[in-house]
Amino acid sequence: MTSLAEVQRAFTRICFDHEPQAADLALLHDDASRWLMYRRMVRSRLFKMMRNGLPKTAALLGPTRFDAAISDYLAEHAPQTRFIREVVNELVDHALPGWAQDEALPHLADLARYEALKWRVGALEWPTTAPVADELDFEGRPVLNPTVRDLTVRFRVDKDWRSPSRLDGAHRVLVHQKPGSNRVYTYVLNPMGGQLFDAWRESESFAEGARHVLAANERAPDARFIDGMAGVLADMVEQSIFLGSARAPASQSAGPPDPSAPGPDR
Amino acid sequence: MSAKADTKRIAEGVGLGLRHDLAEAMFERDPAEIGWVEIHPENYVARGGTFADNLERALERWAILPHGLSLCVGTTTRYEASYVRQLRGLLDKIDAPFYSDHLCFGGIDGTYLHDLLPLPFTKESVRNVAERVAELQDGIGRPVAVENISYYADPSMPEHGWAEPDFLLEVLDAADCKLLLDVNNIYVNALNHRFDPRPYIDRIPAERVVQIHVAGHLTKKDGQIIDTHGEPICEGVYDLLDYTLERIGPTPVLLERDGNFPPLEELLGELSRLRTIYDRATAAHAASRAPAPASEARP
Repeated sequence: MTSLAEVQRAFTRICFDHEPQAADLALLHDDASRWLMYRRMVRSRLFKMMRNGLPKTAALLGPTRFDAAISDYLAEHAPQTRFIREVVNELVDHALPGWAQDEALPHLADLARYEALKWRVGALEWPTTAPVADELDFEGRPVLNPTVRDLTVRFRVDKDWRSPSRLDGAHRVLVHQKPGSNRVYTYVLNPMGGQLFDAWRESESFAEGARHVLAANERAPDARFIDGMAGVLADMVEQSIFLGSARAPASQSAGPPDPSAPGPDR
Repeated sequence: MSAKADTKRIAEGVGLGLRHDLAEAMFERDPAEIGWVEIHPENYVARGGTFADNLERALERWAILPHGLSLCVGTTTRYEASYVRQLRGLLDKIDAPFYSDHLCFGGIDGTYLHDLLPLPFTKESVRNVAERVAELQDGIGRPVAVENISYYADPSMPEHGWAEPDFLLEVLDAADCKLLLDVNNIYVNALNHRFDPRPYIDRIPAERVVQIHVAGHLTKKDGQIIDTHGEPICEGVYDLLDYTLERIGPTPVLLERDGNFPPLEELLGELSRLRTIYDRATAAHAASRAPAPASEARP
C-alpha cells in the first residue's frame, strides 16, 4: 500500500511539476480532474502573491515570461518557506542568474533585486530592543537603523524601471523603515557615498570611518570631500538611516578630511 | 498596554478575523459587534511594519485567538523547532488559551504548498496526526485544536470505509485534542459529497469543541461549492450554526472573511445576525440542560 508520505510527495509534485504526471495521479483515489483542481488553486495563490510582490518586474517581463519564471521556480525549487510572503524573495533568488544575463533588459536583475529588497524590508520587525542614539556626534559611534538593507546597482531602477540609463559606477541602494512609520524608504548613494556608508557602519566613529575612506582612496581631505560628506551624513540622519551616535568613545578627531565629493545620488 | 496588563480578556460570543484589509476600519469603528478577533500567526511571527502595529492595537481592545495556516497537523514532516519557539512567544504574548491549525497536510520535506490538502481517511493518517499534535502541544505549551477542512476530491479509502466524521472522531480520540469546528466546511462538504450535515454534527463530542468557524462560499456553475471565505454567509450555514450551537452550547464563533472584502458595515450586519443566532441557540441549549422541576422532598 502507498504510504502517507508517498501520497503527500506525489501530491506535491502534481502541484509543482511543469506538467502533472500520470503516475502521481494514479496514486490518488477519485477523479483526477478533482485533484487537478487543487493544482490550479495552489498555483493561483502563489502566482498572485509573486505578481503582487514584484509588480514592476512582472510588467517589464510581460505576463508570459514572468509566469514562466514562476513555473520554473515551482518545478525546480518549490516554496521552502512557511511564510507565503517570502516566496517573492525565493522566486527572485531562483530566477536571478537567468535575469542577470538578459541582454535585452540589462536592468532587469537590478529591478527584481530592488523590488525583492523592498518587499523584504517592508516585513522586517523593528527590534524590541531598538538601539538608542544620542544626537549626531562626529566622534561618536554610528548607530545604524536596524532595518537598513542595501544592494549595489548599475541602474537607477528606483527612479525609472522601464528604461533607466546605466550609471557611472556601481551605486548603493539603501532600503529601510523609519521609526514609527510602516513605509519603506529608499536612499541611493554614489560610489564614494557607498564607501562612506560601509565605513561608518563598521567603524567606532564617523570620524574614523571618514579616515578609512580617505586612506583607502589615498586622498587628502579637501573642501569638496568635506562638503559632500557633510551633506551625505546630514541626509542619512534626516532619513533615519543613521539614528545618531552612541556615547562617544575616547577617540581623536578625524583631522581634516580630504578627497572628492561623496554624495547621495538623487 | 497588553492583554496581560489589563483584565484578562476572554473570547466569547462572536468574533471577526483581523485581516490586513479590514484592520483600519475595525480599529476606527471599534464596533460592539466584534467581541474578539482571530489572527493567523504566520502573519505576525518575526514581522514588523503594519502587522506588528495592528497586533498591538488589537491587544488593547480584544481577546485574540490564534489560528495557524502552516503547521497542518497531517504533515509527515516534523516541525521546525525554531518556528515553534517563535510561535510560542507569540501565543504567550497574546495569552492564547489554545492554538488551532488544520486537519490536513500543507507540504512535506520542507516544501510548502500554501494550501490545505486533504488527508486520506486512514489509520496511518490518524497515527500521524496524533504524533504531530503531541509534538506541537509539547512545543507550544498549550492545547492544540484541529480544524475540519473542506475538500474537493474524495479522500476516503475503500479499505477503511471511513467517512469524514468517522475519520475526525478517530483523530480526536487518538490525539486527545480539541476541535475547531468549521460549520461552513461541513456544509460545503455535505453538498459536494452528498451527505446530511446534521447527523455529522450530532456525532461531534461537544466537550472537545473550543471554537467554531463560519464563512461564505462560492457556488460554481457546475454546482460545485468552493470554500472561498469571500462571500456572505448563506442561509444554510446560518441554520446549521444554529443547530450546532443549540447542541454544543456556548462556544466562540468566528466569521472568516479572507477576500473580496465588503465595507465593514456589511460584515457587522453578518456579525449581528450571528449574535442573534448565538443568543437564541445557547439559551435553548441551557434550557435543555436545566434540571426538570421535581416535587419537594418530604420527610
